[in-house]
Amino acid sequence: MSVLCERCSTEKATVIATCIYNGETTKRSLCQACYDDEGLALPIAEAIVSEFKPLEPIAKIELKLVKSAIDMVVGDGEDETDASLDRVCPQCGMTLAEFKTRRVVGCAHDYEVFADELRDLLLRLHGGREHRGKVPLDIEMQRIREHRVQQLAGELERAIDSEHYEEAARLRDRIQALKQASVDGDS
Amino acid sequence: MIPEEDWISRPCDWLRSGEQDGDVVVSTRVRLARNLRGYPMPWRMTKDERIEVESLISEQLNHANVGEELQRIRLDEVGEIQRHLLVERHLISRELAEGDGRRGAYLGHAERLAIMTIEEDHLRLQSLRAGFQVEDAWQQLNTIDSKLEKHLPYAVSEELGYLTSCPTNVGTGMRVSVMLHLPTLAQTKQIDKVANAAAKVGLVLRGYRGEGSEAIGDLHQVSNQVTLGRSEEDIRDDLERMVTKIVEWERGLRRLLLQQSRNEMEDRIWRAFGILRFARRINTEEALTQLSTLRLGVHLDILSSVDLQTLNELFLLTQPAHLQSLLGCDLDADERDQHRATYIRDRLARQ
Repeated sequence: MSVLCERCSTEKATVIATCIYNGETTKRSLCQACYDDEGLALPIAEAIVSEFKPLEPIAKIELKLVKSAIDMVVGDGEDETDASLDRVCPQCGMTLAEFKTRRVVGCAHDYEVFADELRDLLLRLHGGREHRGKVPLDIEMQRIREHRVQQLAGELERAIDSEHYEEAARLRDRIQALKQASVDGDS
Repeated sequence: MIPEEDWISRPCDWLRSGEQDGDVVVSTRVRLARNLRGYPMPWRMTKDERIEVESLISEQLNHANVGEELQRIRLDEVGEIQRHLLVERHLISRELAEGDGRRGAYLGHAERLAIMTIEEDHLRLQSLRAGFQVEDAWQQLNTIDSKLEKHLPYAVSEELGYLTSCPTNVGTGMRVSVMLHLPTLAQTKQIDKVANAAAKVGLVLRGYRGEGSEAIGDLHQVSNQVTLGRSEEDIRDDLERMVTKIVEWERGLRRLLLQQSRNEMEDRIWRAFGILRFARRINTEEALTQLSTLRLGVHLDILSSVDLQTLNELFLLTQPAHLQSLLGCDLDADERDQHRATYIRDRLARQ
């Protein structure tokens, strides 16, 4: 008696495929065509993905799709509101239309000049808006100083409220010094 | 400049065998993209600006004490074969090799560090390792980057992080790529599933030569697609976890296939050996494909007469520029295919 393929239920099963999923082994009887088609039918993608925190839906993954993301964000110039295609970066002279063709910016300043379009594009490409992670030390120090200034300003307010004027004067000088350091770029 | 013949005997550290997870993970690369404030991106630079920025970076690379002596190669001054030797060793990109004007490569000892200047971005720092060594590669680059930032005015924004030519690199400017050998996942048609899984967590599976390329010899690269909104640490963690999973699956399948169809596996591997041992002409792609199968055979203990070191050397030496340097003459494609076959035959006969 011949066994029919578990997958297509029409052809005779000629292969026994062993699947290992989450450490459990199952055996399936398949015809050659279904076996070839499914490989060993390991639900790898599902198994792997279930262990990760899913990302925000991000646009498309392959680089050739950067083009379509750009098209979506920048517009095709046919719409009258697309007059922005002629906008020029005062530093490098690149227009938005040029960016659309080259898909690279002309200088770092373009990220400010074409902020609206590029921020939208970056969100589509990365699923994120704001940088997280390393920044050069001077920026890091600047952040720390700003944070400290905010803390001290709070303390200053409390000192004034409670009429501790000597303490308030000390805090005021400290804040001044930190602000001066930021201006001077000391770290 | 290193004489061509020296490249032949020079060890290529990222192809060394016996490193962590080396049965599946061939090599690891981390790259950081940086640009200098106040200059256009390379494609928009004038000749003078290229020279100015390249000299500035070169000077700081000298000063910054990057931990090892760097060898500077002015790509605008060396010949085509020399440039392609660097491409085949994965030290510089094809774009840099084939570009125009002032641009450079700076190579560290044992080729674990390779820095490109005036490529798509002003500066690209790359760290290469054999096997699965993301942390080690990252640490080296991070240290160098922190030294350089004191002297080079990087283009950075508080909000967007490091600003790069292409919006796909903005943020961390970091790309981590791990080259994987996945013969049984490919044989059982699971590569698409792996690619889908990777895509869902912001990673991408690419072919042997990176972006837009096909897999050759079942070699695939996994790298992060996302650079903005996730920290370097998050990106590395996700990639490491994904690679660990893929390695587990590939190993599981290798064991399974050996159990289920040992004879078929052995046949596949010995056929590859047969082709390499006796063929009279072979192109780069086929050589790479068959060498990959031998690599699998060695890792499965089916092939004991060939050692990994020889295979790794053949991976490199049979590529066009290396082959021509090895033979000391220019060859057309047809001649290369013949000489390649002869060289591989000789090497395998000596095993």
